[in-house]
Amino acid sequence: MAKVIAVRLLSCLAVVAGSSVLVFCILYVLPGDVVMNMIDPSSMSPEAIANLRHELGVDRPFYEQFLHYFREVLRGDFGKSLVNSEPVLPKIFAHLPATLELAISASFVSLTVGLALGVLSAVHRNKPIDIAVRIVALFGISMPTFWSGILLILIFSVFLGWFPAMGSNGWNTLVLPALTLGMLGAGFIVRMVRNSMLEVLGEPFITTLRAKGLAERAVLYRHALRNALIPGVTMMGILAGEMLAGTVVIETVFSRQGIGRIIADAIMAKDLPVVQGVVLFTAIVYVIVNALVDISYAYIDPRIRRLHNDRRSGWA
Amino acid sequence: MSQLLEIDRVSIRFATGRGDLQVVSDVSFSIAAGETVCLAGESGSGKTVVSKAVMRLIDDENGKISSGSIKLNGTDIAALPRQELRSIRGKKAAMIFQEPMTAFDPVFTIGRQITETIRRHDRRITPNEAHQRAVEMLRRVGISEPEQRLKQYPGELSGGMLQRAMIAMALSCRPELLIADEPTTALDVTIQAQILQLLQELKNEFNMSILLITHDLGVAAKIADRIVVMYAGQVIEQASTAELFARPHHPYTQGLLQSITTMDSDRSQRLFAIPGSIPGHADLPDGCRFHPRCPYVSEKCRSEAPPLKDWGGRQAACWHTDRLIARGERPPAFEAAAAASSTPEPADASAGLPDDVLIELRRVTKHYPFGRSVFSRKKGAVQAVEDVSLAIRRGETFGLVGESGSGKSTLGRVLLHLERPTSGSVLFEGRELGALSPAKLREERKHMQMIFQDPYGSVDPRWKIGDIVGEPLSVHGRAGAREKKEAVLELLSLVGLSPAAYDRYPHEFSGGQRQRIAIARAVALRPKFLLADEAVSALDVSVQAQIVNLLSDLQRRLNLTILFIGHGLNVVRYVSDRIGVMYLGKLVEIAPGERLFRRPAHHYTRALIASIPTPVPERQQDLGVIHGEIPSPAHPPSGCRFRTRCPAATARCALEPPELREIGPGHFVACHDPAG
Repeated sequence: MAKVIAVRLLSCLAVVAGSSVLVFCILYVLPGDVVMNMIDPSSMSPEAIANLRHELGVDRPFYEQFLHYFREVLRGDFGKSLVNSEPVLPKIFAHLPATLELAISASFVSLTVGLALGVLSAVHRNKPIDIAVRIVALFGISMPTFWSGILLILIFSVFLGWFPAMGSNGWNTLVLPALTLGMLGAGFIVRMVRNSMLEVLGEPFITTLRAKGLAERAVLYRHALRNALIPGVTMMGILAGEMLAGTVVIETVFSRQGIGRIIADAIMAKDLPVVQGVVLFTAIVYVIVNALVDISYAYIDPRIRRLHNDRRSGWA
Repeated sequence: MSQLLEIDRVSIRFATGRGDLQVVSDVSFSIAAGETVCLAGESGSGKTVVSKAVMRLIDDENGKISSGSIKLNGTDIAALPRQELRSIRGKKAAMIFQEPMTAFDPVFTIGRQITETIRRHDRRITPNEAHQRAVEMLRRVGISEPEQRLKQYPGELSGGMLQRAMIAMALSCRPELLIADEPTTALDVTIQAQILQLLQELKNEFNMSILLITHDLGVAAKIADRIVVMYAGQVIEQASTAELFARPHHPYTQGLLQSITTMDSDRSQRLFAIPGSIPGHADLPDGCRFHPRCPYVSEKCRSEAPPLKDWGGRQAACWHTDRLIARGERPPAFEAAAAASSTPEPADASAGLPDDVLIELRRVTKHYPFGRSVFSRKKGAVQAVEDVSLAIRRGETFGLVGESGSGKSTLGRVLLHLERPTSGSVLFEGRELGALSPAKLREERKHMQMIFQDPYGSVDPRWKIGDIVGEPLSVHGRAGAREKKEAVLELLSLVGLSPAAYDRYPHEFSGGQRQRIAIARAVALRPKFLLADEAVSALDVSVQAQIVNLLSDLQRRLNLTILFIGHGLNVVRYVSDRIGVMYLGKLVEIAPGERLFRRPAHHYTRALIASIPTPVPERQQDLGVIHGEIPSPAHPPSGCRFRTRCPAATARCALEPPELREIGPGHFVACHDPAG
């Protein structure tokens, strides 16, 4: 097992390195001049502009800029914002709690709603209840979050006045954004759970379980669901990615001070170090989450565990 | 004897997208306490549905018992509310299934699944006691180190072991009735013999009744007291085992018994086959459901369904039973059909000249290494084929037999160069395949084709038959569109399919017909060599005979050389001129077909032959069934690989691997101390 984890972690490092190279390159070739964005060209002399360029290091060749950036990143320095000279990393950490709050509560909504409806749907296959659930799931998946978010604001804060429409302090500001983002994930999970439940319920061992006299409850939740969740576990990594990406829109819609909001603002302002920093940071988080998912996969499915054991004991 | 299970005029319907479908009509039979009743029939006969209905397991598959009653010890199961069913399932009646590998939940340990059953039906038992009971049960069914096994997951045990565990689980609550649905179909003959023997012992010990579902009358003959034959959802005959085999009262039973390839089948005669196939439930013929395939058919059969009538303690549903009885064992109608279709064998059984070798293996070895990764070097290898030399002559059929894991399929794949041998060489008409350039090899491929086991998986479901059969022609770019169509139509008629098949899709065909399609595709390029890997194993007996006949016709007409891989020993014996026996990657015996069966020299061959259930009840005897299972090919035993299971093993066998040596004309054996 230790070896599996080691291999996994090494490949994580490779992915993080690769994605940061990619981010750096994309931003480098992007049209637009950082310096021209920072200043008013008419108010500065060409020498002053050249000086500023030199100061920022953007006049150096590509590979030098690249190496410099990485040296700094490895030392834990993600650079400073071009807009207000705020260091990037502390800025990220300052806004992280709001985003984590949102991502975790949205995942919670996705999982509980998605699992419950997915199982319900599979068990009542092709009955009215299944069709209703499938329609709801379709809405969850297809409604863009900026629209469903605004819809929720309209209903629950403007008309009903139950929850505040914006802000990121206190649980009541969390409800609407978590629901909005959670509905998207729930839609995906419902479909996934329904499909794999149907597949598992068609397996011969389900008949064995019924023939043993087990209550239908035990057949469904103890046995079928556990089997159905195995392919779903890998989905969790992808879901985590969705949640992180979703925060960019949601935090803007609900005016929450999270890292999704930072990057949205930084993109508008062409504040490259901040964009780079946030992207790199999210890539690291995403990779770690997926590594954890993969490792836990081996614990959940004995067949995969066995594969590793076999390699060790010499049976293929 | 009191009746334990009474099934009375039961009909079963399934709700489908296109309305209800009746799949079982008016089935009645009963099982006495301590009796073994076998429900026999081909796929689609409804036998599995009946067995599932006994525990109302069909409820969860959109099925329902639409009329009739199923009484278990007087309680009518058909009328029981679902809630109360649970105390019967697993407690009064238990069930074991065809594929033990898929019948256990893969993510729970064996132990957890057995104790779950025990605790479900005995609420007062402590977890510890349940565990103890599970250990005892595993020990009773012949599983060694039960404590260890209980901690393992289903994927870690072999099929035979899992079936034993399944039996242990089924019997853990001491049911009065055990329903066994094709319990040995997915297992090797040697393991099948072990499991059947175990069931027989346990039946007496636990004082229970068995309802055995099988398509294999050989299995039925071995353990059943009484046999109920089903066809297209109806019972068409029932009798005691001895009576049924001695004097079948229904033409279908008679046909079934004749289609079985036995040790005595005459190779110069075509196999008997019932024409056509079992009808689907949606388009049942009027009158007697068997009439379109029956040689006795009369006007009455077409319009009126025959009732199940009493014939002195047994029953049959046929208008012509009296004629059948009067005519004795083999009716002229069948006799004529058999005679007309029998064609003389080529004068010399081993067709080509002995030295006219088409394909030759020279010291071929195939290893699959494992445990290789970035961090570690090669750790070992599954030794699938080990040092096999073999020459197949032009025009002969070479049979290859052995248990699963013996490497016979791998050998076939290496022979076609679908996989490169680890060492050794394959020669086709004297050319070494491994030395050919990819383009040249592709050219040679035209002469070598293959038919697979699963007729459902080996044809693309989204292609029309015409395109499937015509594909090899296009691949090897030989013909224009019209010529291709003509060639395909000719091929279809060659394998006995109508031209109408050209524009249809595979799902419209039965298993046997699909196998014909696969054969048409295989012979499209007029190959010289055909590899038939378990080509008839997945088919029903009556259909199996049709396909075997087709293959031998084609061999004669197209002058094919065939490597026939199979685990049905009787079928292999019937089709093969020579037979090779494989065990754990080694070729242990080669002999002309007849000689191998009459005078088997290797102890493994003897055990294989002894394990075949004979469809003749009187001939049942406890032959020397070999014990244990085939070892892992990753760690084969030293010396002779069979020594761990061999009754005649000596110290020498562990030290020295025996070489193949000739002990009779064309008869080679790799054994230090061959028998007979």
